[in-house]
Amino acid sequence: MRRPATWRRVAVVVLGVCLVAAGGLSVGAARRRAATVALAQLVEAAEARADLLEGRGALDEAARALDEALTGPWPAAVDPAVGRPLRAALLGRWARLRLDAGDPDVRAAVRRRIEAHLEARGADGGDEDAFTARLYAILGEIYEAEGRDDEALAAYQTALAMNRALLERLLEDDAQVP
Amino acid sequence: MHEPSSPPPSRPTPDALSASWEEDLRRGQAACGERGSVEDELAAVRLLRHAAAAPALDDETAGRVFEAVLAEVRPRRVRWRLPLWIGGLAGAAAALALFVVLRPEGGSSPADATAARASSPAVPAPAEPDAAGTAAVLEAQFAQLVPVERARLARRVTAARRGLLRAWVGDLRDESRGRVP
Repeated sequence: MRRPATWRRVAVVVLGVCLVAAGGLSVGAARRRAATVALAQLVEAAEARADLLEGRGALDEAARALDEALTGPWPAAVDPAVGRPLRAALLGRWARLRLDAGDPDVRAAVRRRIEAHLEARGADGGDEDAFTARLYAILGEIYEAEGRDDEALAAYQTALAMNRALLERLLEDDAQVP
Repeated sequence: MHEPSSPPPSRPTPDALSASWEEDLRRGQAACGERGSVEDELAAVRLLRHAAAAPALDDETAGRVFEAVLAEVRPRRVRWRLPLWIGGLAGAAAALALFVVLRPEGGSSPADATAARASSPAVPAPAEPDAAGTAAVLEAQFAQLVPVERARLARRVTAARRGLLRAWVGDLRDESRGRVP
């Protein structure tokens, strides 16, 4: 006779847990959306500023504008499918600007920063994207310039493999469009 | 010799940021015998003039504008307030769970859930990069892929923005319903 009461208790607990989980998921989703939109705005403004400065030939200042966006506060709880590529996009552009300035002292700093970014990405298990592939390509260039041929080859291979996967995916998507 | 068909030389229209708009408005206001702020009219004139021909910003002004924009979009620490009912429910659920688990005749044993994640990283097919031109090839591929990547990101951001707008509109609707007597 006690069975129905036990089941009722269990049902109440399950219901309560489900409600709490649903509430938590809803708050988490709203937080993630807000952070994603905020990050996109931040990156858009930083890139527009860099465009303007680059157009005027102020390459150092353009690099500094990108650097400020990279080193400043980064919204937490961002959708990783947006956050990772956007960070890689800013970092790649910053690295290209710094390397094209032709200062050999800067090369090691750029390499360290890209390596740190890629290590962090590896720990998170990020997906492939064109901006990350570019980072590997730039890293390959730096290794090559430093005479580290094996590492350069490995970085180039990673970039090529990523780009190949992305291009194949693009072709598949095109083929699916009637 | 002046050609009769050519139009008379006209005074160049000042750009949106020119101070002459405010002076003209003040003059017009004085001519009508009025007083007070012309900020609203000035804002409208500047907006229309800017839409017709955006002025080229000098370095200092552009820097100021971008500083203002970045100050607005830079993330701040936001205190997320958990709705009270969720806190209440969490407390109730925790109390009930404790009651069920700790009671003496509670025979249910928690089942162990083990999630085995088979991590099988995709092994990239070996490429044979030629170090000499690889960087150029990669840069060309990047140029080809960037628009696609940006479009994909834009879609995700737009979806997030729409979700936020829907939530805000819902909140506003609830709020306005609550205010209606």
